[in-house]
Amino acid sequence: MKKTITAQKVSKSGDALEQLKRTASIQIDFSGEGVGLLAETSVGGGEEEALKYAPVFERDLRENYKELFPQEEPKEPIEEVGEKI
Amino acid sequence: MSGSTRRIRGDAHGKPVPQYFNPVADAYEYLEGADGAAKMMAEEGKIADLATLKTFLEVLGTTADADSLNTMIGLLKNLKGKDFATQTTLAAALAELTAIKDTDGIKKIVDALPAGTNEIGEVVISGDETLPSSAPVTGIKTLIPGVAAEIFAGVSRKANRVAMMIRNLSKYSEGFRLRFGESSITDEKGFVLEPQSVVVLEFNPKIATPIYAIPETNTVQVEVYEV
Repeated sequence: MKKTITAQKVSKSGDALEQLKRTASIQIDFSGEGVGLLAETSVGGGEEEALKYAPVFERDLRENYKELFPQEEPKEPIEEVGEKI
Repeated sequence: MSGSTRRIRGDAHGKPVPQYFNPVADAYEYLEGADGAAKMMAEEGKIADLATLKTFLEVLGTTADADSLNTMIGLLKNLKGKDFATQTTLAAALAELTAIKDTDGIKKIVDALPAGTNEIGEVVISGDETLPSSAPVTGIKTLIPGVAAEIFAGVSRKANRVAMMIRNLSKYSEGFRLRFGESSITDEKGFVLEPQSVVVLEFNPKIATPIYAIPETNTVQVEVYEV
């Protein structure tokens, strides 16, 4: 899985409103896991907010598209050897 | 010849009677009449009686006739009041029509509508872009405090979406509210969505409009439906 975070650059001379409305985008590519899923979102703010939200976004994607991801096989119960006392 | 070279007509006793000289016949002719008056010669040599002249005059009308009257003068006044195009204008109109005719049907209107309301009324066109044109997308989104995250149902904002429904999945007992709006919303600024409340947002499909949401206090999940 590859995560790419791109924060919108705001020039120092930019006005206050522009600064307030800046966003950062998050791209997550699951092709590394053999899942053809490319997701993209954005958050208000900059890189800090994007880094904070990225794991949440990833978790939501795994839940919303769980049928695309390989399921962990349930572990078989280990048979105990020997007689029970 | 002239009348001075011809003899005038006489009555039964040879006395001169009312007459006139006819240069075509080159002779004097009796002046005839009726009802105590002699006949009068009109132009073109036609003899017209007063009844016929009266009829003609009635058809002609008078200068006082209104343009609504069906007399010749009334009709002329009516015609005079019309806004007739000049030959130049008609030629320009013909050129425009010919240009349209020479196109394969009327395919396009290039001029923008003039400023104003330009209300057309309710028109539904097959393939209308304001109607859903693809399958909806649903999903769950988790919102964490301190981050205004974009809201959508799938892997990214649905292209050309026309509407989005958001439900705050927080239980009534929890009472976690969230706020939504533009990217600069905070836990104190933005439109409030109460627990279990649903909001429906409509969009212009041609304009990408991201919507952000942020919880006021605790992590909240929302159910999203995009179409």
